[in-house]
Amino acid sequence: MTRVRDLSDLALRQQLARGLNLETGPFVFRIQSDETPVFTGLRRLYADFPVSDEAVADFHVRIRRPPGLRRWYHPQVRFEHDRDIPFLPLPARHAFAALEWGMNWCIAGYAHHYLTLHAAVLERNGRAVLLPGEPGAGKSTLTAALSLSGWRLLTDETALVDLKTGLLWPMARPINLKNNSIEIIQAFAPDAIFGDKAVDTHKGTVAHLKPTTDAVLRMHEPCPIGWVVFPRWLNQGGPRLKARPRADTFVFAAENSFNYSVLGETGFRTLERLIRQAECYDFRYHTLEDALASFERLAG
Amino acid sequence: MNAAFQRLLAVLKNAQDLAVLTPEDWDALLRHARSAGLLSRLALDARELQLWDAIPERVRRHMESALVIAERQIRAVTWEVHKVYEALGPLGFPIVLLKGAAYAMGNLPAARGRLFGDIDLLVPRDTLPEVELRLQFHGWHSNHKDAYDQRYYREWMHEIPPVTHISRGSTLDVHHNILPLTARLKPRADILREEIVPLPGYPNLYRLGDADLVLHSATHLFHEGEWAHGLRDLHDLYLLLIHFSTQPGFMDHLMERARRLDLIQPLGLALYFVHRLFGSWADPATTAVTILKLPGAVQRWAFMQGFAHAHPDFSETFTPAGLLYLYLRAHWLRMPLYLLIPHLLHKMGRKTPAKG
Amino acid sequence: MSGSTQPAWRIAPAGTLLTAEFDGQTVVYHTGVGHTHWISPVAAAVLHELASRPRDRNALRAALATWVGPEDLPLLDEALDETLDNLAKLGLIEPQADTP
Repeated sequence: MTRVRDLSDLALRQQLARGLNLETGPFVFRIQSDETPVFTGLRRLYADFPVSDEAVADFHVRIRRPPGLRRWYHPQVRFEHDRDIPFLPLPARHAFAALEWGMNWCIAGYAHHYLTLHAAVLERNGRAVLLPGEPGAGKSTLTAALSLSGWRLLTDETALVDLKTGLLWPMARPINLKNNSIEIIQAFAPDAIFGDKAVDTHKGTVAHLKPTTDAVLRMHEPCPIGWVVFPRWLNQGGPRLKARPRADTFVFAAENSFNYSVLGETGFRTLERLIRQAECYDFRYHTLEDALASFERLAG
Repeated sequence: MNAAFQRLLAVLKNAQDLAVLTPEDWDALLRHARSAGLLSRLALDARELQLWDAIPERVRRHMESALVIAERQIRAVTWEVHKVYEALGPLGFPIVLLKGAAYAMGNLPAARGRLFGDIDLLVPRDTLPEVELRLQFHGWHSNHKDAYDQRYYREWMHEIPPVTHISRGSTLDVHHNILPLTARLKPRADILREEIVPLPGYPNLYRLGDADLVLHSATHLFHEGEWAHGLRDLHDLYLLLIHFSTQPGFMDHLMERARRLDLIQPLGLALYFVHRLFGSWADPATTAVTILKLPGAVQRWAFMQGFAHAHPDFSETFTPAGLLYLYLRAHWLRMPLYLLIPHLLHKMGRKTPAKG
Repeated sequence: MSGSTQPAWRIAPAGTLLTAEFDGQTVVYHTGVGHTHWISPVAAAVLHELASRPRDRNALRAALATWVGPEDLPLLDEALDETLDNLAKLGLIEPQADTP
C-alpha cells in the first residue's frame, strides 16, 4: 500500500496535478490542485494516509483559481466538488484550509449512508467518547490534547454513525484549531506537528494538527459509543463531571446533526439507539491536566 | 453527443445496463447523474431491478444516500403541500398544483427520485389579492421588494413574485397562467381548468389533466431560460409520455389540446428531443407519426447544448454560446421587444445576488 | 357531535410522529414539522392518546384523569389547556376541520 509519505515531492505534485486519490477512513477524495499550500498540507499532515488505487473515488474535488483578474492580483482560490461551488473564494494562501472545509462539506451534504453529527469522537479502551460541538466551549483544544494523550482520534468535527450497527467510523483527519488553541497545544506538546497557520480567515487564525500515526493506521476500525460529554472550559475551578439527562442530550445532538432531518425516521431511531447506549455528562474544567485525568477515570 | 453523455442516456433508458459498468464507468456516472439531478432515479431503478449486488460497494453507498434523499424530498413536498392547503384551501376555489408537486401528490412516475424545488400553483387571476394575503398571514413573504421586480412579475409575467416561508425557507410560485401575459403564445388558463384532475386527500386540490401536464412540462422546458435541470425535465417528460400513452387515444388527445392551447410549437420540440435522447415512449408507429416538423439546425444545436449542460464532461464544444442563445430566446418568447430591451438593460445595470 | 363547540385535536398529518423515552423523559420529532423537542409527561400522554384517533378536549381530559392522582386533578385542567396550546404552537397537533 502506498502512503503519501512514500511519494517523492515530484511524484506528489504530479499526482495532485492530475488528481490524487486520498483515503480518509470510508471516503476516497480525488484531489486536484496546483496550489502550493495544498501540496505542503498533504506532505506534512497527511503523510501517513493511504493513496488509493481504486478506480472509484467518492468525491472529486479541486482547489483552483477562478477565471479573471484574481488569478494574478491578490490571487484567490475556490473549492469545487464536481460542479458544486459551495463557498466564496478565499485568498490563495488559505488553499489548504479551503480543502479541509470543502471535504467536510462533501461529507455533510452527501454521506447519508451515515447519521452525521457535528462532534468530535475519540476512542479509549474500545469505547468512543462523543464531544458535541457547543460553540466556544473549547472542544477542539480538548480533542487535540486527548488525541496526543493516548486517545485514538476518529474525528474532530464530523461523527459518522453507522445506520445499521450504531458504530462510529473514523476518518482520523487533521484537527482544526483556531486562535489561542494553537499556542495552547504547541505548549502542551512541543513535538506536535502543525500545518502552516492561515491568519485572517473568517474564523480567525487557523492551523491544523497532524493526527498520530496510530490513529491513521487504524482508520478502518469502528467502535461502539461509550459516553457523550459536553465539555466547557472555565476561567477557574476544579474539574466537575455531572450527569446530563439523555432526553436533553438527544435534542441537542439532533439539532447539531448535519443530516438528521434528511434521514427522517431512520435518523431518529439511530440517534435514539446511540444516546440510549451512552452515559451522558456535562464536564467543566480549567486545566488540560485536570481534563485528561478526569477522562482517564471515566474510561476506567 | 459524446460517450459520457450517451452512457448516462443509455442507463436511463435501460437500467439493466448498470450491471455491466466497469469501476471507471461508475466513477464518471456517479458524478454525471448526480449533477443532472438523476442519481436518485437511477438508484430506484437499480433497487427495483435488484441490481444492488452488481454495484461496487463504494458506489452502492452513494446510491443508498441518493435513495435517502429521494425519500426525504417526497416527505418535504408532502408536508409543504399540506401547509399550502392549510393556508389556501378554505378559500374554496380549485387550486392546481403544477410540475413536481403535482407529480408527487398525483403519484405519477415522474415523481420518482426527483428533487423538488419551489412549489408551483395555478389559481384564478381574480383570486390573487386574497391568495397573497392568506399566504402572508401564514408566513410566506416576498423576496422581491423592489418596485421594478414587483411590476415585472405582476404586469408582465404570469405569476406574483415568489414567496418564501419565513421559518421553513420553502418557496412558492403562484401563477395565474402557464405562460407570461406578454408571451407570444397565449394558452388560456380557463381552457386548462377544463381538464383538471382532483388529487387524493384534499377536496379542492388538483393537477392538470394528463395531456395538459405533458404540455406544461414541454412549455416550461422549451420556453424557460433555466437549463440547470434541462435533462432531468426532459426525462420527466419521457416518463410522463410512457405512462400516459398506454391509454388508447392519448396521443391524439394530446395533439388536440396542443392546438387548442396554442402549444404546438413547444410540443413539437419536446417530442423531437425526447425521441432523440431517449427513444420511443410507445410502439414505434405511434411515436413516428407524432414527430412533427423538425426544429431548425440552430435550435437543434442550442437545445442539445442545453441538455449537455447537465455536466461539463458532456460537451467538448463551446457551451456558453448555446446557453446564451437559449437564454435570449426564452426572454424573447416571454416579452415583446419593446419591453424586453429595457428589461434586460435594467437587469444588467443591477447587481444580481449570488446564487447560494 | 352537533352539540360540541370544541374542535377535535389530531396529530399533524403529512408526516410521522416519532417519540422516544429516556429515563422517564420523552422526546418527540414530527418528520413534517421538522423540529425535535423534549416534552412534559402531560404532553407525552396527550400525544399518545391522539396517536390512535382525534379527540376533543373533554375526551382528552377524561383519558388523562384516569392516570392522575386525586390530589392532582384540580391542576389537570390548567395543565391540559397549556399543553394543548404549546403542542399546537409547536405544530405537532392541529384542530381537525370538521368532524365527519
